[in-house]
Amino acid sequence: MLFNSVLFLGFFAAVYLLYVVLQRRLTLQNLMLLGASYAFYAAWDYRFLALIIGSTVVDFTVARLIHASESQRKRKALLMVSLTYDLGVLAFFKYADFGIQSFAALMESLGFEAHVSTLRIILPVGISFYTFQAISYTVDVYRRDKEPVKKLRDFALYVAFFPQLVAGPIERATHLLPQVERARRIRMDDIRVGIAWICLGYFKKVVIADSVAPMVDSAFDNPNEVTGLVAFLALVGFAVQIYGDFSGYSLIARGLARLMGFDIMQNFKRPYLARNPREFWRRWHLSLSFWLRDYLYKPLGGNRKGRVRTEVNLMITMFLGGLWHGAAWNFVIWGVYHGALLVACNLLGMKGKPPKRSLPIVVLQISVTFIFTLIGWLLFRVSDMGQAWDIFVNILTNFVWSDEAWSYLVPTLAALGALQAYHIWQEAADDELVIMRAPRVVRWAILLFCVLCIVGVGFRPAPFVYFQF
Amino acid sequence: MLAKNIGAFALALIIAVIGAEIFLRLLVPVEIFQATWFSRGVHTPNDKYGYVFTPDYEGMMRHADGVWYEPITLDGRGMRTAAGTDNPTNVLLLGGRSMMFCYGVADEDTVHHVVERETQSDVRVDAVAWPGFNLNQSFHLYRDLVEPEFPPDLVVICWYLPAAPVGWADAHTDLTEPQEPPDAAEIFHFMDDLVVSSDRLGFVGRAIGAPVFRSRVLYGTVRQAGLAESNIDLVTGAIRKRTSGRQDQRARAEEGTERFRTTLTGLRDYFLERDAEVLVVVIPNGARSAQWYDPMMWIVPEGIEVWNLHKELADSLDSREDFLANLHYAPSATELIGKRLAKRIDQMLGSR
Repeated sequence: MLFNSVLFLGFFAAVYLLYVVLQRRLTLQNLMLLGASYAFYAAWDYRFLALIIGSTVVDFTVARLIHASESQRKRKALLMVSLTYDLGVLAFFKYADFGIQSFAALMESLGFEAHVSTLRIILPVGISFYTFQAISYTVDVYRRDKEPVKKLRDFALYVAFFPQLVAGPIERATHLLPQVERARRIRMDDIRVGIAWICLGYFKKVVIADSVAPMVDSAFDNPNEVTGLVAFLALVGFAVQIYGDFSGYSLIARGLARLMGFDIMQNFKRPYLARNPREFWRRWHLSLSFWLRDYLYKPLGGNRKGRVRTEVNLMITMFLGGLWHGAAWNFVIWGVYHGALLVACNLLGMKGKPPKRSLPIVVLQISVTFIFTLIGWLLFRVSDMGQAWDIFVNILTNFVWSDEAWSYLVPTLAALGALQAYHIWQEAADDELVIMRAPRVVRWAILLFCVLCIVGVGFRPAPFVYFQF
Repeated sequence: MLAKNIGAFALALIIAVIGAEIFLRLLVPVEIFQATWFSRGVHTPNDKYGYVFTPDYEGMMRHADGVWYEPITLDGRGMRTAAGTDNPTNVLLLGGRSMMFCYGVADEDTVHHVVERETQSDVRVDAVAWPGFNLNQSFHLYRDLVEPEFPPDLVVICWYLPAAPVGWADAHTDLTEPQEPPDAAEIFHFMDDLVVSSDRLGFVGRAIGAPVFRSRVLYGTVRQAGLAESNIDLVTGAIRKRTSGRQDQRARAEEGTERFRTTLTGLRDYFLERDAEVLVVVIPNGARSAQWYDPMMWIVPEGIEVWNLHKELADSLDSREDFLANLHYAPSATELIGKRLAKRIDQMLGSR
């Protein structure tokens, strides 16, 4: 069930009605939300509900046992049980075929005949997101950062909460679970903010991302038939598409949750206004960046074990971060590329928030960072590295004007311009909710603008890009 | 306070409408927004058919689903160029709508070009198939535009049924009398040189008329309203009430069947009388299952053999890889279909 479908709107309307009716009965309200979340997931494929329920039961049980144990050895062993189960399921469903194919390719490159066949495993939607969310709970309990949750149903809802179940944000137990466990009040402000976020989220997804997607797909599907300029514009279009798609989903998820009185973490913070690659990762997919920092980079030693080890830890983290996105080498290379950029930032002394500079310098920094990001998106979008190289060479050697370029230039600039204009406004006010503080006419005009654009283009059955991860 | 709020809302709405209109015009090309499938100027108004494809047109095919900027060149008749030089044997592919027009693929990848390339015989192949034109209209196009210069030796009648089980499509034809031009208000609207769909406009859109097509915001809004209207009609059963009951539907289906049989028999006899061989082919569509076609075979009149190519290729064509733009043939599909047709044509010509 896609957010951008009439079916989902009907589903949410029914759930919300029940939610409001059960306002003062937390147990029933949570049970209803859990049932709705499972129904939401089952609408995609009911068979894979077993995986979510399996993770839920294992992590709930293991966390309680960890908490009850005083022996550090036993606690560690229990944690390993949980991690082995969660990561094992993830590895099997997401990486088994990739591993087999890579092994076969390696054998063939070494001159051996490899007669292997893949398992043709279907990737359960959202498995990377809810698995990481479940892991963070067990680790937090192990670290004694969080008391184990008392009721299985509350933990099950934390794992399967439908607004962010299939594409995040990857919530933390310390943040979301207390909200599940206590009675929630829906305030007028929640409704106003929730509706605004939903409108803006749908605008990003349905209007921006889905409108530029056809031209991006066309150029990437026929890379040898377009000029370098068109390929470049398609690449910019993809940057717009993936941001609009993913941040749009996150914003809709936050808006839906907010309508029910939940606060879900911010996942994007104007990433294309980043002034260096390091800052980019403090603005892009925050829930994953922070998760990797807290549950991978820091346990590896973080920056506490010397300069070389810091950079190695960074590369390992980004390598695995790339692999998290998908079982393909281009994602791995994308992760390593960003790891290298972060290492370069460290070596150049780019730490913390970039210092204040004059406007032209800031514009230059943002532009350069955007170009580096685009190279990353090229690696991310292609089907193989040969295609990436061809497109890269095409951009560098065939950057010429053609009639076709108009049909790429105008939509790309319009989409990017609209997004960046709004982000600059937010950035200048340093306020994500700047729209809510704007004069009434401005606020209403922007939201009505979004609604009219959404209605204008209509819902199309285009799934969210990040569902595949 | 209320007056102030109303005033503020009205002002916000005006700003939003202007902003959305400008933004949507910049963001979504008119061909994609109005789903015209082609760049401007491809259609010309015509009294007999409603519209025809503009002769000597050079432009693009554009559709949000995989066809972004595919060049197209139409010949002096408004058709895709015939394949092959002047040869003693003429092969005509008749009908098949946008599928045999090969929407979305380059000229050299069209089915009739593949047939000409693949056949062992010395042939010239022409295709009379326009998007939206059924067998009846295609036949009249043939009579009007093709017959004098292209007397066929072999005619392949392409029978296309859309995947929907209720879509009788080519069944609603009658060769004996020219079909009336489509009702513009119901089916399409000419906006300058663009034919845009009136589908799903709903009663509000139809009541407003021409201005609605000029505005992205207005058109988008009434389109959604029309969609909502048809959904509500489905839920409430209003559609069933509007048609005069099942009895009437059955009668219409029977009438359509009879007309189709008359058409197919008439077409066969027409070309046989002119010493052409005739082959009737069920052309493939993007439906994964061949089951839609089997139940339809009963409507084929006795004495006419139909080659069910859809069924034959059902396992070879993948709806995700071999089709584009609302399930039209991708080059891989035209290649496969063209090769099969070429082989069959060779057999028929060889046995002459």
